[in-house]
Amino acid sequence: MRFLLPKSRILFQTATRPFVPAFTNASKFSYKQQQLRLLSESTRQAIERVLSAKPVVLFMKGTPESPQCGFSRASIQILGLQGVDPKKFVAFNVLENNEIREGIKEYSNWPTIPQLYVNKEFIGGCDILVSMYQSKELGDLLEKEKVLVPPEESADANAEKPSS
Amino acid sequence: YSSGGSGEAQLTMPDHLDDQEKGIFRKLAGELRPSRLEVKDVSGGCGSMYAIEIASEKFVGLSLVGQHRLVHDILGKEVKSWHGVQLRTSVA
Repeated sequence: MRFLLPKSRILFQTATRPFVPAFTNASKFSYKQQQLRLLSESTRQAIERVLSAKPVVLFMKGTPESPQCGFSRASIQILGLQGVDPKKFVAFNVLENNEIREGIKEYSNWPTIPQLYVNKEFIGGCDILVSMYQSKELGDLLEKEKVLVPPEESADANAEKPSS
Repeated sequence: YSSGGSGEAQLTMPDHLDDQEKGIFRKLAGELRPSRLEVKDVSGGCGSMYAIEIASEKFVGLSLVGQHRLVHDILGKEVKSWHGVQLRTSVA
């Protein structure tokens, strides 16, 4: 059975899945932007846990040390060039978790990986990061969100601060 | 490709596109009436990744994310089957 909502841009992954949300909290299932969230509650919560872990979250293929895709690699490189504080950054390898790999596409309403979040706000994929990097918009954003390495630390990383 | 004439720019679809590229071109041209549109299979002919450059007035007022989302929506289910898509959008 196919549901046709007016002016909808719904992507049904399985037409046979019945539309019966088993949520106790109905407000979580609001029709945001006329999009149907085919996201299970547990997946949504798992994603939100990841997003709460650190201010800067990159969903990518592979790891920062060993990216498995050119676009993921480019995104990691840009974040490094911008001077994102590693203490404020976490990368999630979607190749290790298919539930999150598919779930994050629904959650973000974005079909591809990598995906960058800053303070739980979706910023974009690789193309957008490249564009924002070139226009300096990304640097401004990261600075505003206070996720860059502070200048004093990068100057002398090995200096021990005197304890009081 | 766009014509250099003034007034309504009639976008002509280049001949060298393969069938999938043509399909994508038509979809985007129809919905966005772009002044510039290029569609290229960059997966070596595998149909799994496309580089799309598009300039359209319909992007006015939209953030980059919003512009890209609009393109994703128009492309619909197809994007999900691709490995990736490279988008370069701009306001006409």
